[in-house]
Amino acid sequence: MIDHGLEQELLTHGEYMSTTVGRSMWPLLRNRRESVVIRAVKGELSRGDVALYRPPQSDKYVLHRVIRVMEDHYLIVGDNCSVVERIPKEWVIGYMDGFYRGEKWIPPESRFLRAYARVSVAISPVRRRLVRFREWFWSTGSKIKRRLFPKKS
Amino acid sequence: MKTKSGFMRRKLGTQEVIVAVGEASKQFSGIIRLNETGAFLWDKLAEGDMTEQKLVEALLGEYDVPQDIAERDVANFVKTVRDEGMLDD
Repeated sequence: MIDHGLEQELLTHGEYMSTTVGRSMWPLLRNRRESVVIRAVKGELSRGDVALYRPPQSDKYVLHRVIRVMEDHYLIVGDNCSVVERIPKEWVIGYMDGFYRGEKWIPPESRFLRAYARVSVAISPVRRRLVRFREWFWSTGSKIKRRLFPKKS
Repeated sequence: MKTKSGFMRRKLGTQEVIVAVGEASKQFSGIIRLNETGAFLWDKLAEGDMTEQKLVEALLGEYDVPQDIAERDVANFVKTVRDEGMLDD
């Protein structure tokens, strides 16, 4: 997600909306499909919040989930990623405060979103294994499919 | 003229904004904040088969505004959304 006006908008209005790009938060946020509301961060985020951060010297913004709050940094990971990032709190400029899925507004206080966050945080210790299992599953499934249904030349 | 598919009107707090999704988001990654008149004109454009004259007439029918101000507002609005590539002519 690259948007040079984002920080200025957050500074001026305290809120912004953007369409997410990438698959790191799939299946919650699909590539270029969901429009998320971003609010300027005030104080400390909590476990399960989706943080927007930008590393210094970078023009790329990242929207990933906080799985642990430490003294001066957060441990953050994308819902569809296995690598946990150690992000200094001063890099975080906003957080997701609900989103549009198609025409449907998903508010931050919705039971669905809160439950999703709890599950996502809960499985974070085994996420790497889950991602590897999923890759193995799809890869093996494709091999079996190719053997059972070989392409006719 | 008509709004291009992929440009959506959304509520952001107390404001209405336009964002792009899907293929349109490759072309436009920001937002356009709309006031009440802007939201009205956007909805008219989304209906399709619009001209600037029709928009002016719709604006005059909805709001108590002088003709010259309506014409200026419509021209400015259409220019803004056209410059951002949000219109199919």
